Amino acid sequence: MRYYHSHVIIQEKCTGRLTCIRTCPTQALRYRNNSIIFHDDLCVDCGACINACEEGVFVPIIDEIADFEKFEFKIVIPSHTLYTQFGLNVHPGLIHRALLNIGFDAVHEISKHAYELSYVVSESLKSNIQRKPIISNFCPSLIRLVQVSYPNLIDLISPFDVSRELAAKEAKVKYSRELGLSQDKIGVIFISPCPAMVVSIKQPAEKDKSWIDGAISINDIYNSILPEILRIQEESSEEAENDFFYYGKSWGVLGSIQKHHDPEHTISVAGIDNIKMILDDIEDSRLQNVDYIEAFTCPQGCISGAYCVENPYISRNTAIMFEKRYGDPPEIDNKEIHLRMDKNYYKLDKKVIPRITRSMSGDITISIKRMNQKQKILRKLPNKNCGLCGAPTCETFAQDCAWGDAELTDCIFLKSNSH
Amino acid sequence: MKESIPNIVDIKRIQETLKAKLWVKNTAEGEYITGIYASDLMSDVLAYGNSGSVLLTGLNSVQAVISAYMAEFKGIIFIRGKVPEKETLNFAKEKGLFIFSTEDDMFEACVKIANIEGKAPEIIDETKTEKKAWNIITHTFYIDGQDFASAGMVSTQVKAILKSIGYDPLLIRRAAISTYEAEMNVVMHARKAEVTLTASDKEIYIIIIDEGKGIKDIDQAMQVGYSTATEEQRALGFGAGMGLPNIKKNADVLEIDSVVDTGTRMEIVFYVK
Repeated sequence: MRYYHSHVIIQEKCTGRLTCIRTCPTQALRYRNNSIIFHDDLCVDCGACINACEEGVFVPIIDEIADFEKFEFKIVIPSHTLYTQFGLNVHPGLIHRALLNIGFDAVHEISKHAYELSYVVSESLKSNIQRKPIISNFCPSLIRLVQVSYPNLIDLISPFDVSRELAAKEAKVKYSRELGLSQDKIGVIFISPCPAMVVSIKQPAEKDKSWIDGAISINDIYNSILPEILRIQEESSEEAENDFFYYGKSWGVLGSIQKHHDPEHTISVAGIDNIKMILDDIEDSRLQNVDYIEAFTCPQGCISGAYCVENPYISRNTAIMFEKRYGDPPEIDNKEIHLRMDKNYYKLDKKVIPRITRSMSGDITISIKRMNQKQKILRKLPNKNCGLCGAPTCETFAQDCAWGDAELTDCIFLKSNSH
Repeated sequence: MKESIPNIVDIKRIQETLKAKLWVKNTAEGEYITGIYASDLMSDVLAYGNSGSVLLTGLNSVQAVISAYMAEFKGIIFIRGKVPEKETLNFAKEKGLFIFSTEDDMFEACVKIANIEGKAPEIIDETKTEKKAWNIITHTFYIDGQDFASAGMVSTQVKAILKSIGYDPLLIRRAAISTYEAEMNVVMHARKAEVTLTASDKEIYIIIIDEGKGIKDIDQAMQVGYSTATEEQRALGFGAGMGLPNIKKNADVLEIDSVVDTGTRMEIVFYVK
């Protein structure tokens, strides 16, 4: 099975700086014979390579607004992160108006759905049916990391859908009914802070098909709406600022769920290496009394996503202030949520399943043989992790040699100096 | 293609038998080798070759000498009169491997070597001829007592190795939990310990040998809730008396031998299904 990924590799642009192979947290990249080798089964779409490469070798695959002309009615769902990109002085109402001005027919807000979900998760944690801790699933890169490296923990991934999907589902059903249009004529477009969410729309890990029809990156839309925002700000700012807006609990910022959920029994963690430490602890039953893991593979949460424009620490400030300003939820009837819960409205139909990677030969004897080869090779390597062989570390190089992917002669230290 | 000789033979006799030409010396007078490995497949050399052997090969490239070096061989004999490349010779000189070449082909050379009557030297230093089976993987780790800061490092490493081999996730989980509990026991109650992990397609063996106060009554220690942890250790969240019962629950075999004031030897076995 081939995996959909959110970037293409333009080999011609590569000058072999090796930044990407050193950056990739799952060691999915190699540089051999003047080109990049991509082990796509190991890629979790964190977007680190896209950000790391100065040459622009990794080009995000992103939809363009023009791609949505085929839909009769276009609904846009901005991620929470979009609102934090313009500083404190741009009211979200301005952003919505700008989106309508550039050609969308409706803006559907996501916060209400995030609120509902957070309620649903809290309720389900009260019952003891659910295996704990629940691992949050809004970061698709995290789900992929569990699929690739922590198959043991796959059952802990939250069984509920994510807010962007619930928003898309509701928007589609609502407008289809109101306008009398069939659902396939209505396009739902998500504004994404990162490549992983785009992948989760194009090839979801937890369902057959996403409710969302396409995705635009924050940095693409930023350039289109910024002039509009400035214009509206000048002309009719006051009017827009009276729009009702519910921002919620600074979702998408590290720690926001922990703060509001149940701080004592929640762990907030960001960054792939840190997440691995926590997942290791869960695997070894070392983490006691924790009900919920809020995890993002980007350092500060979604505000550090590869497609964000603003400095994440400034976005964080904006998010915190917006939570103060627009944090009061609209009237939401919890009874309504319970009714929907009973109908399994929030539950995912399918379970996430582990991803079989190339390192799993399925034959223990072959694996052990390779491990022994790898150890032998590793002992003789200089352990400088220079990366000049094209593998990020001496250890990965030894592994590649044992697997037959690399030649020992690729190591410059193993070649004779005394010519 | 593989031919190994049972007895240890000195290099000079091989050279004479094969009428081999010497390219790089690097051998001490009367030096012995532990085996011959004949192959053109370098990945096999790395997987199956034992250290202290000689590589008999027709692969005339620097790849051969690097592989021989990796596998801790003493040298290479090239067959069919191949002339080694300059790079090969330089590498061998640098890393201390000898290089011969013979006019014989692989088969002839193997037969001739097999017919040498091996004379085993009187004293063999076994430690220098470390022989490892290719289908078993062994790792050794060390734990320091009272080192709560590093507690869990060994079980994390054990888990990483088992994962990369690709055992069933549930089996890995059981092994990781057991190792972690045993590791915590060492940290709490012993001065230091050596942990050996041996894994094959049949079973996973974890042996923990510690130096410490030992266990007075093993049956009592096996009971849920029984603990000799101090108040401080309990305050840190350890020593709930679940350690040994938890290992027993997860392992297929658990054997404990202990001598009070000397130490404990714990053997944990998991069968691979």
